[in-house]
Amino acid sequence: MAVGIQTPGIYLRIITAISLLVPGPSRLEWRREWEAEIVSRWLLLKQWERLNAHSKLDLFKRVLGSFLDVLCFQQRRTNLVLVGLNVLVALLIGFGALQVLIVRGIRDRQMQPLLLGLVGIVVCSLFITSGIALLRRWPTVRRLVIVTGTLSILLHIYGVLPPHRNMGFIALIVGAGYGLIMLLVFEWNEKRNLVS
Amino acid sequence: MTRKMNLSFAGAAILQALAHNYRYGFDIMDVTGLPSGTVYPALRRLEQAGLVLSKWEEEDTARKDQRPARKYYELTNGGRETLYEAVARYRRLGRAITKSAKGAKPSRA
Repeated sequence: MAVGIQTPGIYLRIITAISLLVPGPSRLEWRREWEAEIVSRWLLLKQWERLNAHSKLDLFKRVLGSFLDVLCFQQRRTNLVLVGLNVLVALLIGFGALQVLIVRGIRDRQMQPLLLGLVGIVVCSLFITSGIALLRRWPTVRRLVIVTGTLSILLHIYGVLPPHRNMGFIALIVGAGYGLIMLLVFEWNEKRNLVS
Repeated sequence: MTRKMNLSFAGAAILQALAHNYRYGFDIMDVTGLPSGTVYPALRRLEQAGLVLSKWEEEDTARKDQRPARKYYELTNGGRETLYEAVARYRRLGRAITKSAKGAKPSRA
């Protein structure tokens, strides 16, 4: 992939994309440091006439390593675990919601599954958004986590209630259970941050 | 302020590179052979612990070399002390390994 590259532009674009995961106050400096290193190395290689496939691949590997550098900006590992779980649960909810929405809501024209599918997609998007907020430490992260967790709990409890029973118990455990866990872990983490 | 920290092998290698005047992230990678995903997070931790200090080089210096200004790292006094301790520890470990290797009977195939 890196072999045919003629300018350091692609590396800088990767750094720009990864820098979005760095918390706001440190982002500019983090990006500047990485960009300066990449451009300096590129110019040096060019000057030494050693800009070949091997050196470009080496530079590419270094650029990819910047992702691990971003992770060290996350002070609490529990935050990282929450982000990973948020993405996983979002994918599971999104998959289930799409299935209900398309098959039963749109094709079979049933109102309840249609609404549940739509709300499910909203919850899926909220899980992803709150994951990004946790990673980037948005000021609104607490509000987002509370809204996401509460909505997920309500949606899944409503989904398993009779007479429609649109969801199974596994969906209840995943959706409502994780919603509750996320709320509790987030609050516990916030308290711990205040203490330390 | 320097915070006491357990120095890993990578951390010791980075401090050693800094002590030998390899001051930029990419140069430290070259000399230690460590990947960027190890060097940069370790530099951040070392800086947080007060063993390393980071500064931006002068724009004029960078302009003279026709490149952007880079961030460089240097050892603090605390970092130098920690490095000496780590080097002494690794020397002791090396001696202990050599001693036990000499004392061990060669295995017969």
